[in-house]
Amino acid sequence: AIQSSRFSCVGFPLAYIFLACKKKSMALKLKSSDNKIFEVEELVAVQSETIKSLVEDGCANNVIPLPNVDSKTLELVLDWCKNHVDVKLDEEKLKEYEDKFIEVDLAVLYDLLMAANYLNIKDLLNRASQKVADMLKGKKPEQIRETFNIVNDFSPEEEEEIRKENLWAFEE
Amino acid sequence: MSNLPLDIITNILSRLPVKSLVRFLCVSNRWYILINGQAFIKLHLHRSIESNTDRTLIVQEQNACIPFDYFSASFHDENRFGKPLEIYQPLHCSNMSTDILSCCDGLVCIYNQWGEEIAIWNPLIRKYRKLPSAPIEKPSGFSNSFPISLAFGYDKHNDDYKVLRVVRFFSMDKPGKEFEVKVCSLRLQCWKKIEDQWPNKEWSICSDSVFSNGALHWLVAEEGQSPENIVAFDLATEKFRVIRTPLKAPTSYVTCLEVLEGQLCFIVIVDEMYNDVWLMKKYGEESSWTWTYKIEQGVVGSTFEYCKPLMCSKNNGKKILMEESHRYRTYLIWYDIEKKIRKRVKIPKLPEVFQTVTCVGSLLLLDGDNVIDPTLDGHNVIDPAQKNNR
Repeated sequence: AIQSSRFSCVGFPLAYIFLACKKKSMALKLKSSDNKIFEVEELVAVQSETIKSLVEDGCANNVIPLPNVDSKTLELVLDWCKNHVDVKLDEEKLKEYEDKFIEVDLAVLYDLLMAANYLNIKDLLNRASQKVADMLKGKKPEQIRETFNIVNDFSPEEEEEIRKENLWAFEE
Repeated sequence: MSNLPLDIITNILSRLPVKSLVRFLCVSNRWYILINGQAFIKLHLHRSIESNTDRTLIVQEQNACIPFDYFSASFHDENRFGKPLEIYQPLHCSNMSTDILSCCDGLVCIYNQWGEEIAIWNPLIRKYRKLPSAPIEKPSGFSNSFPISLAFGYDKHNDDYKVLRVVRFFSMDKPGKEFEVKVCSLRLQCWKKIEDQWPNKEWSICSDSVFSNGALHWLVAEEGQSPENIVAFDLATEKFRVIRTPLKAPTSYVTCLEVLEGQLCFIVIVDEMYNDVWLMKKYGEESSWTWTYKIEQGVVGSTFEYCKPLMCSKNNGKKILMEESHRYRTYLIWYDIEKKIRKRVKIPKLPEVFQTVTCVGSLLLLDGDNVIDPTLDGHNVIDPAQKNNR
């Protein structure tokens, strides 16, 4: 689990002031599907609309269980959220971070998509979707079926008909 | 990637270029229905416009013999233009020229010489729909008509693309002019007479048509005058209105109307020395006309006649892509309006003189007719209509 390390290097009086100022941003506890507890600042966590509504409804006092997200994915998602808290962050730096963050294989992208969808984090969902789209762009229908595990339910004649209508789209 | 919910799949697919999507129609029945759905087509168009990437230039050759050739060249950012590919337009006819009227949401409206044939064409997915023809009903007492004027745009209220046709009649024997205004709906495939009257019978159209903010626009003026007014036709309300231009230029100057990133754009060509350009920052508010830039003749080379703004650069909008037309040559340039620097875009194998529109990727008319590529084997069927003409 990620430890809340914010106060470890701060002396008592400073920490006291810090707490007084930042009273609104409390720490929330999130529990992944494999039962790991993540302690995060509320400001970070509420980028998830799902968590935000739990907080607003006063349901976030104890540990929030997230049975659809495993710890590996949750760690990634929270890293994304931490980097998107400060909206004033340099646009270029943010883009650099996002590009590096999203450079993962399809299996991880799948987990991120599912988690972002469940936690309702729009920008992560969109960025991951864009990444998948970029990966699919040049693929053939056969490769798409394989990737998404889709059964071709067209008869050979039907498929041939659609291909013939749009031959140009199959040219390199 | 199996078991992704449909809305995530939709989100992913809406970010793909049209060519990939047309190819993926045959993945499965479910994908076929999804990609063909109106909701998806809308979402895809919205993303395509928003992202401002993957634009395509549709280029019409203008210096050679009729029929003119058409090309498409995709571009991803300022300096990356794809190789121009020859494309075929649906009104292809060996002895007549087909011209581009304008482009809206990836749909290009083209027409034959006298506007007798009009088609709405999605060049990126090679589909089109021809509009029915409409007779010109000459009012009694009028013997002649001026060349017709056409305009093309989107009616948001009725979610429909429409072509407006204005015909102006006159007679040698008596003073006065008469107008006939008709609108054709792409969805309904029929023409309708517009009841609202042309604002001033002495005004004639003196510019190309421009679509912006749900309305079609033309510069208008009395004969021999330079235009002080713009006639706007709202496609939803079907009413005319008049918008004043930012200034009345001397009659010796040529004035033009364009649209740049959705804003009306008024251009004065001053003595072949420079183009002065105003933008209407807030649509319909005459006080919002803002002088935006001036583009002067370069130091070397021949002088340009006109610089038509096409689109703004992706990052900050300070650079404008323009079609710089000289008498015997057309260039594409990026013009930096702050630094006043122009840079020619190098695309090999473009025609010497051409006209161009910029298209967004769009799946509109996916259910339209296929444009037949005459060079493809097995498709060399002669159109029965053309056959009869021989």
